[in-house]
Amino acid sequence: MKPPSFDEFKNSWALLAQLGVWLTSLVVVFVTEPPRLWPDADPPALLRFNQFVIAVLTGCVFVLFYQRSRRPDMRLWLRVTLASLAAGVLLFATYTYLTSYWTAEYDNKGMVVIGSRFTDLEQKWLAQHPEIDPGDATTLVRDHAGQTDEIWYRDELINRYLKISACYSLLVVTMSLSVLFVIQALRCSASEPA
Amino acid sequence: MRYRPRHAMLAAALASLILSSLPAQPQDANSAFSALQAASDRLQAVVHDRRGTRTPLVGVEAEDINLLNKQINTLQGRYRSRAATTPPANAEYVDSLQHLVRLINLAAQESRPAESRAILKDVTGDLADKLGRGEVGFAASERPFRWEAQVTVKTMKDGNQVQGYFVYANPIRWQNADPRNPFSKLSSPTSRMLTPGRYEIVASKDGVVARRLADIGLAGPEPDEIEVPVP
Repeated sequence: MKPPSFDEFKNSWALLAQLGVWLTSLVVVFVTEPPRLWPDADPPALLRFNQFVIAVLTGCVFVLFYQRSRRPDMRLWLRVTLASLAAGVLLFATYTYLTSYWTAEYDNKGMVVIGSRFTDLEQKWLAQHPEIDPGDATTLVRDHAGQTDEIWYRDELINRYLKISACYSLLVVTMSLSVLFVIQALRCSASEPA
Repeated sequence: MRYRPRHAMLAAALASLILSSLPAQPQDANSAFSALQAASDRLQAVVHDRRGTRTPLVGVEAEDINLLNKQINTLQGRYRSRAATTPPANAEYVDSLQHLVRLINLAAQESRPAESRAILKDVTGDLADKLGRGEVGFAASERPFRWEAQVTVKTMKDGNQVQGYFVYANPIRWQNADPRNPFSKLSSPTSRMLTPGRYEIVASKDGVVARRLADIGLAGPEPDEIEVPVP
């Protein structure tokens, strides 16, 4: 068998990458933009990562699709669709919960991750200023001009960011796969009976 | 070693993955700007051609094309002025420019005048948005321009600007600390970029000190202008 050329590989990857971008953009409509670790961090980096993962997974899923694309396979794909949708709903609830408690509005350009353990310096400052509400994270972040690591410990901020990002990525990937699965179920239902 | 197609396939797949994940190079942004300009020229030619041959007009008027050209030139000028000192444009930005090229081409091909004009309105709206945010699409390795706010401070006395004050801005948390963000020029006016937040603006001259609290960059993309009354 003649090995595929580099151009053929490039074309296959380009198609998968486009599918990844399309699926991500489809799902992101329903999910808010991921929060920033720091105010000047780049949220699209996470989106690009998700697009890459989805593109690779789409390739894997297509291999399965080729093997199971007959009419009797429709039930299987319907089950898989419902399972991935249920996982997506759970992840969405978790993501919403985490972002509600672990992020704060700062400059009207997206949320930033906040912590719960104040740095020693911040604790002293808060003790000297009882008029400041330690629970008002938005004001605290603004008073520090976005330098969240002056307020909360850096390790906690990174830890929370990673958890939120993982949840976000899983959510986008799961929902994207459920779109592919339902399309496959429809294809199977439209195929000729065995 | 025996040639194995599977190895070649893996190597090619790996290479294509690595190549596709590389950041956009400056020439990508430059060629995207050139493509944008070329698409605008084509659209202009189509409009003129249709007028000349009395076929149904594209719904695009001369002022729409003028606006489009002006926006492209301004954005490209900003990009070039920063290109020498900043990292290359990021891939999203280049993608967004290429998407605009496709839209302009679509507007030129569209036979329904209202549709054609609506597409171009989307394009000019997007360009206006890019210009308004000061976004020129550079990579995040440098502090991105879009997260900073332009602030201008004027030192005022009896309604008139007074000169010669040293101005700095400290986040409220550091309001009594040493100057953190000094303005490079004496007032007035004097400007600099600051990360959004709540600040105390301090103006001092010959032992005279004036202070004012101000929210900077929290209301929107417009530059902030702060007047500090001095005694």
